[in-house]
Parts: sequence; C-alpha cells; structure tokens
Amino acid sequence: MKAMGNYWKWILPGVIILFLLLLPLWGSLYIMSIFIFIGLYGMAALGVGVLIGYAGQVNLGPNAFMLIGAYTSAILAVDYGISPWLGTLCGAILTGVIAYIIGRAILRLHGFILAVVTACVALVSYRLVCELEITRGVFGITRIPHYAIGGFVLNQEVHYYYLVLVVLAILYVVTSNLIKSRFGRGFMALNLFHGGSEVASEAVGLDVGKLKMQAFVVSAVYGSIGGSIYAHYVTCITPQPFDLWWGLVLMMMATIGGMRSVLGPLIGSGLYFGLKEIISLTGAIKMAGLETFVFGLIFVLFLIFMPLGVVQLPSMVRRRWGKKDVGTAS
Amino acid sequence: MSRQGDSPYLEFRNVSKAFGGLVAVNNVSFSLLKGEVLSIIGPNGAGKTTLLNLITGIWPLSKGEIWFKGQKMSGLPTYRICHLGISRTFQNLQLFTDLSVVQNVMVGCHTKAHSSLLEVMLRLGRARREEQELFDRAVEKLSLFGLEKKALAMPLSLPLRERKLIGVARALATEPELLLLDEPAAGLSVEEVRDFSQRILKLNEHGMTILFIEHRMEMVEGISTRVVVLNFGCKIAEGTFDEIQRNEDVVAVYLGGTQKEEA
Amino acid sequence: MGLEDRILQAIVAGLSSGSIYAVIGLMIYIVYNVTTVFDLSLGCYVMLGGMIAAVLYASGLALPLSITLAVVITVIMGAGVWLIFMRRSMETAPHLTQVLITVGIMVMITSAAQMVFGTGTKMLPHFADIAPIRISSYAVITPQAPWIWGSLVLMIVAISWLYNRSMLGKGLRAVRDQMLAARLMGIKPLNTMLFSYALAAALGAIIGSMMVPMTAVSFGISFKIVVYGLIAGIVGGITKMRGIIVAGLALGVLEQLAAGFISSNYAEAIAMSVFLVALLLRPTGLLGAKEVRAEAKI
Repeated sequence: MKAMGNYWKWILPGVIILFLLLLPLWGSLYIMSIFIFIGLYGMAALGVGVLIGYAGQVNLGPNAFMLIGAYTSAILAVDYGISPWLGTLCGAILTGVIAYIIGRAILRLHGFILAVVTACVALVSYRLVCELEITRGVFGITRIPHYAIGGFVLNQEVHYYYLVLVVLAILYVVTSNLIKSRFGRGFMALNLFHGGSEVASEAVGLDVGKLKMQAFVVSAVYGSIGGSIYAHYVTCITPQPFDLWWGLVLMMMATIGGMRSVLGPLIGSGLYFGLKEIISLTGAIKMAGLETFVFGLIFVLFLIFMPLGVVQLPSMVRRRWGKKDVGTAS
Repeated sequence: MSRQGDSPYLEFRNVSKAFGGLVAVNNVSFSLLKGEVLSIIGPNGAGKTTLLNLITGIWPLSKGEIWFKGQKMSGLPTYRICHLGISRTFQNLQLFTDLSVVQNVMVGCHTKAHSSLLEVMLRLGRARREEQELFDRAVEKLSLFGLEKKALAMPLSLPLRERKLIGVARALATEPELLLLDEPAAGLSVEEVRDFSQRILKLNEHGMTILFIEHRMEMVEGISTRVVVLNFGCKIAEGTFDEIQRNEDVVAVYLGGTQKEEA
Repeated sequence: MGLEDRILQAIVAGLSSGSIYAVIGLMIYIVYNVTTVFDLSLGCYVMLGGMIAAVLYASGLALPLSITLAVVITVIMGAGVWLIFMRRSMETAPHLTQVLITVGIMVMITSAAQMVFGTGTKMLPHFADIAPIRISSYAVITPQAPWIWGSLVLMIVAISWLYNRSMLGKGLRAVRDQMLAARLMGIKPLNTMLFSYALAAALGAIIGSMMVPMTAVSFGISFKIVVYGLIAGIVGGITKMRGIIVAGLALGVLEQLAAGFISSNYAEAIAMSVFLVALLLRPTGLLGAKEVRAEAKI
C-alpha cells in the first residue's frame, strides 16, 4: 500500500500536467479560453490565498488589483504606445506601490479595520475607473494591442493559453519558495486565525506591520499581472469584470480551493468557471447570478465543514482510511 | 553571578500605567544590574505582567520612563525593543501552533536574516544559505534544552514542560542580553520547577540577565539575586529573598504564606 | 441661492442618508455586541426590506401592508439564514471563518435577490402625499425624511431601552462578556445570538422600506451599505451606540456636501477617501484599537 501512496504522488500531478500541456491539441478555442480565464483569475486568487490564507489579513476588494493592472497596461499601450510587456510590468509596480502605501499606513491597526479599508479602496478605485476620462468610463478601452515577441504577435487563443500556463508555473514556484521561507513562517506566525500571535511575533523581533505590508504587496502584484494579461488577451476592457462582486468571487475561489496551499486557489478558480459552464450547459434558466449563488453556497458550506478547502480532501480521505496524517508542517 | 558597572542596566523611573480608571502600575521605580536575576512577586492582580508588557512596549506608559543600557526605551515599538536585546516568554506561552517546534524557534532567529523578499522568492543562493543557517541555529537552541529530537513535532503534541522550554528557546533565538520570563513555573511539578530553575541559572552563569515573574517561591528563593514585591500596582519591598521574607509588609500581604515556609 | 443655503440643503439631505448609515451601524453594533463578529451580511436586509416592500406594493397590496409584510418576511429569512448557516460555527470557528461566512451569506442573499427580482431598481411612492417642506429659498426636506428620522429615533429609543432596562438586554450583554457564566445562569447564548440577528434584520428591513421612496434600491447595494455601516462603527467606536449614530449621520452629511460642492458622481468616493485619510492621520485607529487588541491577547 505504501508503494501505491508514493506512486500516486507522482503519477497524478504528472497526468494533470500532461493533460494541460496537450490540451490545445484537442480542445476547442472555447475550452482554451475558459482555461485562460481560470488561469487569469487564478493568479489573483493565488494572491488572495497568500494574504488571507497564510497571513490572515482580510482583503475585501482584491478586484482592485486586477483592475489597476488591467487599466494601467491598457492605457499605457493604447494612449502611449508602450509595449504590453512593459505595460504589464508598470501595472505590477503601480499596484505594488499602492499596496505598499496602504499596507504601511494601516500596519498597526486591528485586522478588521484593514478589511474595511480594503473595501473602501476597492469602491473608490472602481468609481474612479468608471468616471475618469482617461479610463473611458464604463464604456471601457478598446483596441488594446496583443503581446508581441519580436515580430511574433500573440494573437491566438493557444498563445495565451501557454503564456498563462508559463506565468502560473512561475508563480507557483515563486509562491512555494515564499511560503517555505522565513516570510511564510512570519506570515503564519502573525496569523491570528491559525494559531499565530501578533504579540508573540513582535516580541521575538518580527516587524509585524512590515510583514503584513509585504503580504499585501505580493497579493497585489499577482492580481495586477492577471489583470494586465486579461487586458491584452481580450483587447478590450470595461470595469465590469473587475468589480466588487468579482472581488468576492476571488476570495471564495481561494477559500474553496484551499487557502493554505499554493494550488488551492487555482483549483478554486477552476471550480468556479467549471460551475459556470455546467450551469449554462444544462441550459438552466438564464438567471443572472445563479452561479454566484451556488458558488456562495458552496463557499459557506466549505467554511463550515472543510475550512481548509478542497486540497484538504486527500488528507481527510487518508485519515478516514486509517493512514497517518502527514500534517501541515512544511 | 557577575555584577558590573555603576549605572543600572534596566531602570524603571516612576512608571505608572492606568487603563481608564484602573491603575495597574502605580509609580514604580527600581533598577536591574547587568548579570542579575531579579524576580518580581506579588499577589494576583498586583501588576506584574503589566510591568513586563510595559518593558516590551506592548502598552504605552501613562507616566514615567523605562531606560535600558543608558537609553530611554519607553515608547519604542515592541520589535525594536527586541532588537535592543530584550526577549520574553509569555504566561500562556503563545507558541505558533501551526508551525513545527523548530519553525517556532526559527521565527526567533529571523532578526538575524537579511535576504530580501525578492531573493527569497527566487531562491537565490544567499536566501538558501540563510535558511539553512536559521535552521541550524534553531536546532542549536533546542539542543540547549535537549529538545532537538522533537524539532519536527507540532507544539500542541508535546507536554507543558517541553512547550515552556520551546518558548524559552524561541526567546533565546533572538540572542537577547536580558530575558524576561512570565510565570515560567506555572503548572509544573516540583521536580520540573527544580529542573527549570537549574537551566535558568545556567543561562545566567553564561552572562544572561534575567527578570522573571513568579508565584512559585521555591524558584524565587532558589535563583534570585534580588526580589521586588508588588501589591496593587505599588512596589512595597525590594531586597534579597531573606530580606523580603522578613519584611512585615510583605508578610502581611501574603497572610502568613512565607511564615509557613520558614517553619 | 447662497452658500448657506447649499450647505443647509446638504446637511438636511445628509441627515436622511446619514440616518440610514446610522441604522446599519446600529445593526452591526447589535450583532457585534453579542457575537463579537462584524457581520457583513446585514446590509442585505436593508436591501431585502426595500425590495420586497416594493414588489408587494407593485403587485397591488396597500402600502402599510406591503411594508409590514416585507419586514416580517425579512426577519424570517434572517432567522432562517442564521439558523441554517451560522449556528454551527458560532461558538467553535475562528473569527476569520465567521467573518468569511458572513461574506458568503451576503453573496448568497444578494445573488438570490438578483435572480428573483432581476437587475432593475425598485421604487415605492412617498409615504405621505405632501409637497417637500421648504425651509429656506433653496433647501428642502423631502417628504420621506421625517419618516426616516422618526424611524431612527424610535430605533434608538427602543434599542437603548432594550439594552439598559430590560432583562433581555442584560442577557444580551451577559452573553458577550461571559458566555460560560451566562449559560450557567440559564441564558441560552445561541438563542440570544439568533435574537440579535433577527432584531438587526428587522431594523434593516424597516429602514430599507423607508429608504426606497427616496433612493431606488437594487440588489447591489448590500455590500456598499454595509461598508458605510462599518465605517460608522469604526469611527464611532463599536462599543458606544451614541458614537455610531453620530458617525453615521456625519458620514451622510459629508457625502451630501461632497455631492453638492464637488460632484455627485464622486460623492461616495470622496466620503470614503476622507475616512481613509482620517485613518491615516490617526494611525492608532479611531477605536484605540491597539490597546484593545493587546488586552485581548495578554
């Protein structure tokens, strides 16, 4: 049985990776586009997972990061002819700076005040994007250029599919490194909701405020990248895909997938879009909001019964079958 | 137990702390010399833990000042105070329950790590080396208490005595000069208290200055250089254990508790 | 149309919208005091009260009946939601989980409302068929305002009485302070939590119905309005009802001043930005939060 266990550890991920790599061979454009969206929102969800799952700081408006990233990159490309790659980088920097300011400013406040502040920031930035001329208001920006490498323009689904895959792979590695490092430990040490203690962390010399800010910045940059790639993929953006409700969806993705894991939020994103597809496939009543309702329901149920998310399933199953639980120590 | 210098190491100057109408610490002054082991005793609610919280900057002072190594310390944020060389344990331990034992202690070592966020995320050489160093230093601190074998265990799976030692190991990981212990002996058996006292004494012999709050008189008697007695937030006596044992005010406060031990 | 007039108008209008924010703050206060959780789902009940009343009225019911029924339905829904989803985790789950659950509830109720009521806005007529009251050459009080103010005052009186005078109120406070002791005394904490939540839902539904004739309601306000309530709670201090009411009213006035003098599109953003800046300038937080937090840990 033990040999079987090791077997699974390598076979299953291997199969999934192979599946993902070969998807464009048999998948339709539509299927590829779904996966692209899963990936883009998944990036932002991953950022949410780092902030809420590891550092325990609630951000009620993670959509703002995607919003700023998307619009920065789009405006720079359309109005100033700046390369999309550079635009994406600028978006990430701008979002990071804003996150830095917010994080630094709110550093010693009670965690819940941070939550309300993030909600306000999200509301204000959404309003700004809807009203300002530079962002073309609710009608959005069109004719956003695609990415290009040298003369080669990324203008097809399959290009973006692999781009997203590559970016996700990089983010996965980078995030794993972060979590296993002293930053990850520091996040968990100050995470009140998972046995940490801000007071004890400070007493052993951790600058808790700075750590919170760092988690915030990481979260922001991930979201921004997702937003920027979105802009250059869809080539026209409105504020709507990055509104407050999407922000809450991001939180739900991270939670359902598993907040204390790097894959979790990505799985959560997959579940959301998968759910959307299932609902539209069953031709179910064209009720706007149905998938959000169902996802919200799943979210609440998970919180009650399986707070650590879908990734918790394997260990729960293992425990049921009597095998020793590996636990969460990294 | 060495005593050096004329200037006090840690100094309380007319310190008061009030929470709204409740005065927790009332005009307390005393000093601690380098290399001493000072214990603070007094009935529950006398303000002892508040004192510790004031030293470590968890609460701002209402009045007065706290000086450390000739520098005014009151008003600094807690983590800065830690960097100055003061570390503490908590009465309720406050271990990081979702981190393993060695990870708990490694958090204490973080003050010595300097690789940046970016370096860590990209796992560049310096970051990797530092991580290994942190691990080695943490294990070293654990081995001071014979706990290196339990490094990968989760704190909640260990008995109280070991968890307390992990708390001390974590505090020591910051390489402090002054160690504050908040009721370290609470909940331990007589044997365990003796063992713990010995370990603290050994730390002191190696140059650590110690300030601790206790109720367990055998520990206070066993290792203190001096004792400060608090009652209702006021300092009512100061001296060696023998001296305060004979102090009438102290005896009155404890209502004959010390008397019994003499007999 | 002098400056004073415009300010007066802003103040008067602001006191109306501010009353709504104050009530939400009050709702949050009620629930927080028993459960120590800031419940984000409470905004939904304002939305529901208004929407259900509007729909009932549109289907032919008389106004008073529509409103009463809307309040009743909302309270039942609130109680149901609490019993089904929140009861289990109330005592055992860590705080973050509880807060996230309230977020999930908000999402569910709001999207359910979207499914049932559609995405349009709903209206109700003014309660009294009188012309707006002129109080100066420019400033008017909308005929709905007295209803809103009256509701606020009644609620303040009722809640104060409840907390300070009645046995029930003492029970509510007991549960917050010492849950175990309260239980030993025969008070059932879960029942008191349910009661507070249902009470908050009732208040929300009432003010929601009051509010609809003045500003049409749609399903999306649930989130925004609870954020306003939270701001009122933070600024006013979550332990003092008085502070919350004042903060809510001030927030409303601030928003109207911004709308009148700067831009009505940006009014909400400006009001929130002021709040954020104020928070920045007083980094210790307006609740003296650092001390609160430290006390809770040691």
